[in-house]
Amino acid sequence: MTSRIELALNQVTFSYENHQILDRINFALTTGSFNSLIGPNASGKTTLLGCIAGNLTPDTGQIILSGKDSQLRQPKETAQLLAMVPQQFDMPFAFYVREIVAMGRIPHKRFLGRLSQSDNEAIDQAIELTNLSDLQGETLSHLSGGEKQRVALAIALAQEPNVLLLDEPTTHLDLSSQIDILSMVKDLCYAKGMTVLSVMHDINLASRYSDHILVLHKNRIFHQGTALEVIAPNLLRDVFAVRSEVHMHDGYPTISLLSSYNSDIGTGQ
Amino acid sequence: MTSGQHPNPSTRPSHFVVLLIATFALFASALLASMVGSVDIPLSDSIAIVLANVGIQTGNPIQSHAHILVDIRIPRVVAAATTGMCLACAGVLYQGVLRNPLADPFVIGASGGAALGALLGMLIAANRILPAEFAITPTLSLIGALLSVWLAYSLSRSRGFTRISSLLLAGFAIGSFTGSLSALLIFINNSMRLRLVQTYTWLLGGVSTNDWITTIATFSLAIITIICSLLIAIHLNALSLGNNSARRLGVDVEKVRLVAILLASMLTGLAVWLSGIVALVGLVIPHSMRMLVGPDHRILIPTSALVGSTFVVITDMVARSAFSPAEIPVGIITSLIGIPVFVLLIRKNLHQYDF
Repeated sequence: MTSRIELALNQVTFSYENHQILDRINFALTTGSFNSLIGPNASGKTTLLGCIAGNLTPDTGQIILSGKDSQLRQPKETAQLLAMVPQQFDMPFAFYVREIVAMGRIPHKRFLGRLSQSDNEAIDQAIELTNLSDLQGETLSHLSGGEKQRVALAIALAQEPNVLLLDEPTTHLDLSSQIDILSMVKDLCYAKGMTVLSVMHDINLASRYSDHILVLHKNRIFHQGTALEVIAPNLLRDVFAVRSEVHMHDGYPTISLLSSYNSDIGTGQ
Repeated sequence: MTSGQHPNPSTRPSHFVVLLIATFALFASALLASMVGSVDIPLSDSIAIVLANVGIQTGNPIQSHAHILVDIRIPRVVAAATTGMCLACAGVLYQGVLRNPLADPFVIGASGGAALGALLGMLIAANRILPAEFAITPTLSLIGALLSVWLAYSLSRSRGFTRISSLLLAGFAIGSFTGSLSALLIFINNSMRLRLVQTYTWLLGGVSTNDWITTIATFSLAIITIICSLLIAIHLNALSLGNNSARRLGVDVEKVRLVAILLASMLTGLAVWLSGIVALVGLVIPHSMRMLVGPDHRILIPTSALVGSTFVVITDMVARSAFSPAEIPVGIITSLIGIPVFVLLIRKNLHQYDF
């Protein structure tokens, strides 16, 4: 893996209606790495992704994407470099899955948006990687939550981005689909040198798949490092207010939750 | 791997074939509508008259037929076709930009606003407040459509989100309010009250017969506006993913929304000025075309324009010949067809959306 920096945030601050949500966020992600963003509810994870994706404009600070301040880039140029998979999406009209995935090529297209050979190849590859080949003639209303999530991922992959942002990609998925989708994204990091930043709820999945974990707490990056460096009972107590045990499983730190400091109600273990 | 090896979405007919059939259907319906009316003109006469007008003498058609065809029927058929393409295309644009398959110029109150604007314009023109060159009637018609859509959209929007039920209620409120104001205007104004039947016939969707310059000008303006709509078609597709997703695909969402609403309101204003309130064409045609060619705006816009034209040409022909010699406004027929479709759509959407 090269150690080139693909995405860096420098003192990024964001507030909404006089309420500070992000406070001087700094971090740098290397090319081809899988990074997880963890933190309790309302810690600003989705807001942070929104700022990086360009849906929200930070009050201060810089977001350096592929070597250039993303505020200096045209939205279309940013869309060629960065894609995001939202938590959920829906369509009011009955587009076929293939047509939806093809929308990922919009940043690469010009007048009227006719698909070129390379566009079709990118779409085919995105469909194949997300295992949607049999569903490409279906409309979204016929798909399950997990299948819709795969379509959202396929749109992002069709963009052929350098940086992929995922907002809780496993929320609507069953256990095997969670592992399938994260393994697929992780493979893409290595195979295509794609840099991934994913908001994760499941600490054990974050531990297993991440090269680097960022912990967002009280509007700041509270801690960051490898899973071994970050996942510890003290951190889980300070950030998530839980009592836990951490043990090694298959080479990864794995947590067992014992109780919550907030409620005094044990898990029964 | 190339796309050819994959089963591409294939249940939809070829775009080329659909456009070809739709164009043929429009010409056939226009020809039929030119022949049929209180005086039927045989096909041979119709062709001979049209050819004579472009300098080719092929026969000896009856002179009165020539006058009816050239000065009355053809301008009216062109006005009906223009109305149909404007309304169908406006429906597609409103639906695309509001991400709502029920947004029709009539339903969201745009037609009512345009009619009120047009009536005000007629009043100003009749009183010669402004010189005739100002084209005050179509201008106020467009402004009326724009203001109504803006009002309906603002009223129904809450926390950055537009509920379908709110939009329909706001559209109903604005449509009723502008309708009452239009009625008030007609009754308090002497000249309009004297021409009550004509004014109400127009208001209920009566296709007007204009001189050739107006006919060609409105038709050309509609075509230009529809071509402009095609230029944002791919961005309207992206808007179906939601505003944030579209923005992340590099689409300038605010600009596309503004342009789409401007174009749709312009088309609504033009249609209302030509033919009053021809209700629900903007709902029925885009909905059925979406079932035929799919929701891709690049094909949906031209197909809806062609089929919308054909639909209004045929319904107008029925409107002026079914109860001959009496003539009923075409808006009555489109409402009779459109309301059941609208109700079915609401029923269908009850399952799909959280009203």
